[in-house]
Amino acid sequence: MEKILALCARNSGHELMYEQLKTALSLYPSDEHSWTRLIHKAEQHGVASLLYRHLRHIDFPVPVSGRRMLQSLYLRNRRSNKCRNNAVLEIVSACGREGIDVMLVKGIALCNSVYDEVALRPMRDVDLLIRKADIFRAEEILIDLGYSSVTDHAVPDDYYHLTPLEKIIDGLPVGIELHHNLLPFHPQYPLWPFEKSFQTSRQIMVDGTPVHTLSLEDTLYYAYLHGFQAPLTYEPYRLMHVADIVSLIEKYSKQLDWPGIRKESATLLTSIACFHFLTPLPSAVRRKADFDFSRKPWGVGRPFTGWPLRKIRDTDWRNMFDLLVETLLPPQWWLQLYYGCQQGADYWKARCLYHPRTIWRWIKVYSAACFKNRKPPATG
Amino acid sequence: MDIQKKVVFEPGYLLEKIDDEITVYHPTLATSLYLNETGALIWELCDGERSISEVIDILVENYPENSPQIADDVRALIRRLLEKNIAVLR
Repeated sequence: MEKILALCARNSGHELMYEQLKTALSLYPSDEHSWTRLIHKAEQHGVASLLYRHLRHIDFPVPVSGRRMLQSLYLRNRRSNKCRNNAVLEIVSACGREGIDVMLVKGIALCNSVYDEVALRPMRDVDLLIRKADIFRAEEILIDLGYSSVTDHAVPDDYYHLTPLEKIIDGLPVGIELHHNLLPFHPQYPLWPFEKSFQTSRQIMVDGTPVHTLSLEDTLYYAYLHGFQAPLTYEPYRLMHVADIVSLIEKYSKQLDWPGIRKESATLLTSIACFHFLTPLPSAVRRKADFDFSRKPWGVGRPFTGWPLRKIRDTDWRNMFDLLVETLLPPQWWLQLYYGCQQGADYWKARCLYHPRTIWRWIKVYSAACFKNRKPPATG
Repeated sequence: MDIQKKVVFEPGYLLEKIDDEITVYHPTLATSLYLNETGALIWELCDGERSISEVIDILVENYPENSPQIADDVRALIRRLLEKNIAVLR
């Protein structure tokens, strides 16, 4: 099941990928129950529409109930995202009239610039990056447009985005998050205010209207930080984030400033190489980025499942040893992905030094929180 | 079923054709329904203004060769819509 979904974690397929997909499908049970499980898993990973797209491409005979589930998910994504596009265009235009610059970021930017159709990239809400000085004016504009605060989702004043605003459009609740910083304030993340990216921003088209978003390199770096270098307690690994990066580098492999990326973050390239073992990158992209694919790491596709992602209080005492192993000895593939390390000495450094150090930091965070009798930070 | 009543769809439901199938779905709910060509036509005719009997009359007038079956088909579809909470009768 994991192999099928991992292979489909991309906007466009190619010959080798489809060959591997057909092989994986031939080994998968053809009963309706198994397909229902596969589709639920695909939905959890945010790749149900991509699964549908690739199965349709190879004309695979999906059982009727499964096919209908996929169709339904695809249509729902398409409808929801079209609705969000309309909402965004209204907001960008209203902010523009007041002289407020807006950058589309995260899902809304990716689905309109990286994927061939908006249906292929689900999102929970719309994220907009705005200068801190403008953010409360922008909030007022949204309130004038009929948005209101989601009361049970209030966020602290010093948070990296304001309390989400929501409006029901054509029966769909459209949530908007106004960010003055792209990523949560956490020691593991760089500060990323509007000014960091606006000068190098690029224009993308949303239903024929030009809007601003991050540069390709910033988009790639953001997707990497958000999806694969997040603090261990954050949202668990999802194939949707693999699809974002794989689709981006395939679509824009010629435009991306590869030497610049290598200079800024060599670990990013090493991490990208890990995706090749999930869904093969075409040779042109591999040459461009000069990835190292010398040896397949063990545990491909298996993310970190140890503490502090999994809570000790939720673990049965009989499984404590497993939790300890998962915490201290994560799979090689994940280790290379998370720490951006190559094979050899780099890998052993990550295994024996970086990862134990990360766990140790979390122990200190939790100990300090217990000591002060308050909740630990960073539950993003 | 009182055929003098009108079929009113719950807000948000949409009808679209995908892979040669006609689907009724909701952007936020998991409920969906698959229709054949006749079903799609009945869906279009049930505009919240016409009663069920008026819908049946229009179909009988346009497809006289199928008239014995039409009333049953309409009732069966509306029953499915009601069961799935996609529509109500008013």
